[in-house]
Amino acid sequence: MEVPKTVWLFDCQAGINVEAAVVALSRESVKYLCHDWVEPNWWTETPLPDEAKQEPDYDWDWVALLSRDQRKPGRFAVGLQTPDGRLQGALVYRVGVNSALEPAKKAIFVDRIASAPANREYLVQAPRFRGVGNALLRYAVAESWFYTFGGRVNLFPVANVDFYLKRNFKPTNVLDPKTGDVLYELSDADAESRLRECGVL
Amino acid sequence: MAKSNRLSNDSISVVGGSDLPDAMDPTSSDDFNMPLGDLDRRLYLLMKLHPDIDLNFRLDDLSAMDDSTKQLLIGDIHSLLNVAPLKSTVL
Repeated sequence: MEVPKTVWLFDCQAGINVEAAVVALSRESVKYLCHDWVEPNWWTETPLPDEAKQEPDYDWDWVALLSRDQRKPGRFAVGLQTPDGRLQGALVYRVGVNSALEPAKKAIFVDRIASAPANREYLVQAPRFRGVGNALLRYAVAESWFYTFGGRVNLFPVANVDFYLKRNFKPTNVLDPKTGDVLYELSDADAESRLRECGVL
Repeated sequence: MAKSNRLSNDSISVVGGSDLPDAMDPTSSDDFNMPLGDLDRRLYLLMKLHPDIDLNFRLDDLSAMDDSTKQLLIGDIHSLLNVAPLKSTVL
């Protein structure tokens, strides 16, 4: 069994679902996600309001992130690439962290997800694609299934906690030691239900 | 700099940026012997991380296998551990 390397995104202009490829990210390719490495990039290819500089990921140094992880076998970075060659989203994740809900078991930790700023409906009048973050999260759950973790995934939400609660992510007693942010986790039972609902299982 | 919390209720635009406590994260060590190929790396992790797989495994064993043998081994491991295959080709 392999995990599908294609996901569905909704093309807002065409009004249809389209396929995007899951591609491995390199230190070279993620320069496009940073506001200060190459031009054009995610932050300049589409006109954005000044508030875009307040986005949580505006200052993320993706190159440093991938450099940090390059010799760690359990750490991966993938992007979603549409046929025009553009990256529509990125995911950095870790395979084999401890589960917070079931400490004797393993999980996948979603370190980062970012959708291209041009897909953020609160930044642009006409987003290009919808469903990028959801597709990356589905991929992380499928990866957890592949590694026999039952789909268990944990992550730190940035702000929209309600979104995760509605999707059965549970708050745990694990905190970021520096910020006090709460780790949320999708249990194996809820992950399996989610995969079945999506028709993946 | 203060960062925006304006995220849509119906989408995931940004996740993360916080740190897992070290005690929860066995993935933090560098491994200079890690397989570089994608399939090798996945098989290596699958065998290394699952507590029910008691296999005396060497990296040399991987390099001696062709890809179809590696895929068969992955299939055997999933079958042994009752991991149902994913039936969709698009997520």
